[in-house]
Amino acid sequence: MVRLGVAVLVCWLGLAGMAVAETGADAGSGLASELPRIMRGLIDGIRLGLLVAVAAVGLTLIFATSRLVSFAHGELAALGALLAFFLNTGVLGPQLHLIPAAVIAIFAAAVLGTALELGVWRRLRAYGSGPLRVHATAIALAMFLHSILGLAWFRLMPGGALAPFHDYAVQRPLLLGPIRVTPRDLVVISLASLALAGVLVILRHSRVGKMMRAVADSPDLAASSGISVQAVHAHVWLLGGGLAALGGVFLGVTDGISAVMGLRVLALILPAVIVGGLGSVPGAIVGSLMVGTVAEVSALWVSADLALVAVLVVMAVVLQLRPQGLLARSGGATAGPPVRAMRMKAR
Amino acid sequence: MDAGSILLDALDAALGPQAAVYALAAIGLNVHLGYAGLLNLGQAGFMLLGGYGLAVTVVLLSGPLWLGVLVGLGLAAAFAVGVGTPTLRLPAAYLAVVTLVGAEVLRRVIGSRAALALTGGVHGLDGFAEAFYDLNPIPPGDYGLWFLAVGSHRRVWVLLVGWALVVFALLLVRALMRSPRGRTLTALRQDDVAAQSLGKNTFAYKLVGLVLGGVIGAAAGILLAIDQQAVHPVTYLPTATLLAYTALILGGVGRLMGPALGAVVLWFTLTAVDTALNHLGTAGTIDLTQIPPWHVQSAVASLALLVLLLYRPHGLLGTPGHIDETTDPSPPSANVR
Repeated sequence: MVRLGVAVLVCWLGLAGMAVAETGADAGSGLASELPRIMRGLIDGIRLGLLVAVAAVGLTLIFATSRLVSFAHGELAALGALLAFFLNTGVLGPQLHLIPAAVIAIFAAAVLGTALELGVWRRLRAYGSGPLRVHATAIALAMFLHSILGLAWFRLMPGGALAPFHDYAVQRPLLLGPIRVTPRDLVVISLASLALAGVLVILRHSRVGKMMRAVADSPDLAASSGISVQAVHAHVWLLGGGLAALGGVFLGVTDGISAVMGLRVLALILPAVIVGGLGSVPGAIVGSLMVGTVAEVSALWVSADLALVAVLVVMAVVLQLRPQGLLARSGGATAGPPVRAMRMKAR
Repeated sequence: MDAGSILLDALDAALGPQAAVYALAAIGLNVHLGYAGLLNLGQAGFMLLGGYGLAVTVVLLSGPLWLGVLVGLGLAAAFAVGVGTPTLRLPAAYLAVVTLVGAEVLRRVIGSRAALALTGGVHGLDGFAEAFYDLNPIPPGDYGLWFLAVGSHRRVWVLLVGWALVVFALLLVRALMRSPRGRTLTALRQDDVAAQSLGKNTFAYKLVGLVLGGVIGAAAGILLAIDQQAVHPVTYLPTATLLAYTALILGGVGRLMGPALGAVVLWFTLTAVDTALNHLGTAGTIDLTQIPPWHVQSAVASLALLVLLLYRPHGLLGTPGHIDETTDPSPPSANVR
């Protein structure tokens, strides 16, 4: 853990060094004048981190219960954003306000997630499939969704490129001290935090949450306690699909929607869950915040593409020094203490 | 809809340079998935390193063709070591994640504005392939095979070299996998713990397997660059990895001829669908301006891959159950539950 802390510190010092070198290059400007930019970068980073976390939490829960890294999660987020876009802004759509459009999109994604669990993952589990076949299926599914969404986007926006939602698109930023935030940024940050807190509460206190944690710890023990493991998987995918779409809508509000956003989201949530620890929900949140801040702060000085390199470096460092992730226990963990096998009413 | 011309187009493509490219890429993936039991989702990255290694060496450093090829292969080997070192001791999913993210980051960096001077950024590079075509011993003219018009002497040259490379790769893989070390590699795919208890350094074997498959993938990228006479970031999207995987699984993972057969059949099918759509478009039955071709290709291929993985993961030539034989070496237990 000490080695990891040192490595993370080195990464941050490297970034800070880049900042100093950059400011030193400008005649007459000092670090103090860079402070508002850095503050802006941190705020953007926390915002991005929270939005990524909303999608990442679903991914890590799916891994916790079924040991599957769902590569399709990025596309589920994109589906949420695209469907909401069609319902909200699309010329052929019903032109709903963003909020009902988002609710419908989240519901649709949750249903799709459950359908995937029932139709695909349950079948592979029944065959006794190994990790290679399962993950190959996951990437095939992701690419299929990507193509379908790409075709749909081409219909909706023949020009390609990026587009905003109809509502909340242009806003005047507020000034809080040295930082400027738009109202929609604040709303999105609050809603995302609320969603994350909600997930943690569900996992710790609700019956479904406890069953999820039980299955994550040991499906056999959970089953022998009377928990329906199949039902838990379906619920996890319901939650995961809905959360992915919610994250996608948030990202669409702040960054716009495009045909390739699925791949962009995936390239953020995968490092996030690996850094935080596959299977750990608090880990996914912490990892997402780290990935978000690294990406946004790096983007102050280098282009967005190169900022992803910094994220990759952080992921590689964590994998080398603490492969189970920052917050995971060695055996793979979920939020809260392990649920002891106790007699629960069979559903 | 002219069935005859659809079939001819499909046949032409199935034996064409693109099919050879993806046969090579799939052979590399066969070494990874079929023999070593590794899930590499970044084969597009290896192809990219091969193609760009050649292009940058020739265009920027004015190097000869053979040097460009070596640079491309060398970069791929380095990338394999880079992604393999942190992940090969971990469950299979970790390599999958790191290769997927790594290949995409590689593509984004090479296409970025900062790399413009080196790689041509978003526009890519061209004008590096002439040295290859200068080696062409075939006299100028158009060539055909019975009813099939193969094309110009340049295309015939690419075809000959491409498929010769495929044959070479197949022979290489066959020889290596039948050697004692190759047999160790395939054995540790099935039972990593047993191999370790016999004192085999399973990490080293897997790393060598990863490098070998990656280098073959880079060769595929070099062939692609030579055929297209250009390199471009958009060629190396994860779609390229998907196509290679579909070819591999369709043909039969773990069998020597699987990837080559799969590539031929896949390219036949994709071209047939593409040509049929074009015919429907010109006949006015469907509106083609609404459908970009690349998305259709990847939709068909990914759907085929999904169906195959769910219902017939051994494809045409493979042995049933082969793909499920691997278990992850380290805790937590990673068989899907």
